[in-house]
Amino acid sequence: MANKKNRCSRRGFLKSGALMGVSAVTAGTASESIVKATASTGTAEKVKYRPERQYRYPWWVKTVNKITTETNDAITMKPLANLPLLMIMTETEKWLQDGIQGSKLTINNIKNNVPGSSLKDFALHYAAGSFFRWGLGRNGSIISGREIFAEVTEQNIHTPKDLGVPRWEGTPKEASDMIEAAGIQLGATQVAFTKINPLWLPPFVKIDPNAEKITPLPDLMREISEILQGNIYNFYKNDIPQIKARAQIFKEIMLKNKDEVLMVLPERYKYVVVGTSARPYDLTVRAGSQLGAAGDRVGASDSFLAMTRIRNFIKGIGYDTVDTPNMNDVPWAVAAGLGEMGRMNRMISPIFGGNVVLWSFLTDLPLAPDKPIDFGLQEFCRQCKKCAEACPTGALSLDTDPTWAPQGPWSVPGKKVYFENSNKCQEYMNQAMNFCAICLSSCPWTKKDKAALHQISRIMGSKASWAGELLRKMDDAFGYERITAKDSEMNNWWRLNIPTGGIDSWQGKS
Amino acid sequence: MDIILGILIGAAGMNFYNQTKMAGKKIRLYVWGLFVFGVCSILLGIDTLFNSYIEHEVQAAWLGFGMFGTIGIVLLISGHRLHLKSIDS
Repeated sequence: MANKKNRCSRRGFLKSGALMGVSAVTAGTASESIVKATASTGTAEKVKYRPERQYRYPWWVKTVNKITTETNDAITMKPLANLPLLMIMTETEKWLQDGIQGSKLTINNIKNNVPGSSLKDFALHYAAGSFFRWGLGRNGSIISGREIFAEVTEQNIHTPKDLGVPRWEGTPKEASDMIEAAGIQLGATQVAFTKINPLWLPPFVKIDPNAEKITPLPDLMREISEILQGNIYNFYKNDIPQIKARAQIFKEIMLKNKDEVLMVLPERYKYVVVGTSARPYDLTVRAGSQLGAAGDRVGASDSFLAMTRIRNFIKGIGYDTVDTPNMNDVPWAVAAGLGEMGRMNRMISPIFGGNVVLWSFLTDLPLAPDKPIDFGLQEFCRQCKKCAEACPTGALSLDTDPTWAPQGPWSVPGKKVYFENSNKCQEYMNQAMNFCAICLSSCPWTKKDKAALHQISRIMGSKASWAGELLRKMDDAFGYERITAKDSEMNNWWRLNIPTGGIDSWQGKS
Repeated sequence: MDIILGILIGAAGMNFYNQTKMAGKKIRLYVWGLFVFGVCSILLGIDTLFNSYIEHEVQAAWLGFGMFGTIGIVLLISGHRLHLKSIDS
């Protein structure tokens, strides 16, 4: 794994090799699942997409048959775990020091009343992320707000079987339309659908055509989440021995025999519900501060609430859902037409830019998938580069063209994108103890839609994407920049007139 | 505000058209074009000013108002002068 100066030491190379080896075996297992799945269905299934809906997007967003990112499943490979977990495993001491630095910085900012990172800003951040917090439950066990909400509320849903009535039946298109309508009402910003690609599932999830029921993960992920969340608390309390002990336990868990950590899914869970939850723009424009972190957490909390409610709805009509931990939502979202891959190696929406949180889950309810979209982002990103220049660590690519070559073991090969140095990205987030997202908020597509000028700019960005550099300069000239602690506007957030939740839920729909 | 702007633009346009007709003259197509684009540019400037303020983007508000407003005024003045030239010739 590359060190800070981006050189790979021998030790780092060997570690990377070990991780890649494990990943290759895991990917091999996934490939085997594809073969079995294909064999069991006989001939390839013909996909019947949902007809394009009139109100989904404005005229300058085109529906296409293939995602605009080039992919090659033959060379794709999954990392063992996502980057924060990889860092804890392979660079434990550095991760520890970064966390100590981050917690000290946060507390110093609070003491010095730094604009955007004062006590009330920090309190807002953590309050916004209430559902992600872990603590002691009534019986003394460690639980999280998410867990309680998901598990307890699910128990209160009456299934058709409970009521003695048949489950809901309809065409896949009717199912998709119904889930979308319910999803928007239940708090999602957008809802879309796609079909499963086993290669996009986490490495510890396997599809078995012979399985009748889901084999859930053991308490593994719960233990890992408990460790990570507990570590954040202990960083602020400067309890280093406790953090080190937890990191050691974590490593032992992650390196267990992979057969013990598999979640097995029956083949019928082949429909993916994927959606977005908008982040409040007035907070995320202050990315890099505790106010910016609050904006990120609002989006994440909203995404979790919406997803859980939609899963409960699907249960209520007689079908099942499964949420696999650490599922990467980006490929599903791009395949389902919620956006295109941007330069920061995340999805950019034509309506919200980078200001969305993605969520997804699998279901056995037959759904009509949506087609991907093309709004000229690939050419625009070639010209613009604003996110890469805004990145405080230089983690994003400044190359004009995307590449097939991954940057490190955190990268998932098999796609032609602007691979980022996730190591630098995560390092910064650890050292700053906020969720950064400076790249996402800097994107010229990340805008509200009150001013007609934004519509004109979006049309130009889509249809004249070759002028991306000029449009980016105009974006800068009009003052669409991140608000930092040095700007007098930072603390103005507390006096702004904002809608409930900070989000205009009519954006993109009027 | 949209209603007020619409009434003002409509009244000014009708007045101009009536005066030209009473003088027995015609408004050239390119003059119409300049007037339409000029009015649209001014409207875009006003829209940018008010709606950027709603979006809490003050710099964009005034820059947009200044830029599109100026372009609009230039187009209207050019259109008017060309119109006068065309009716004199």
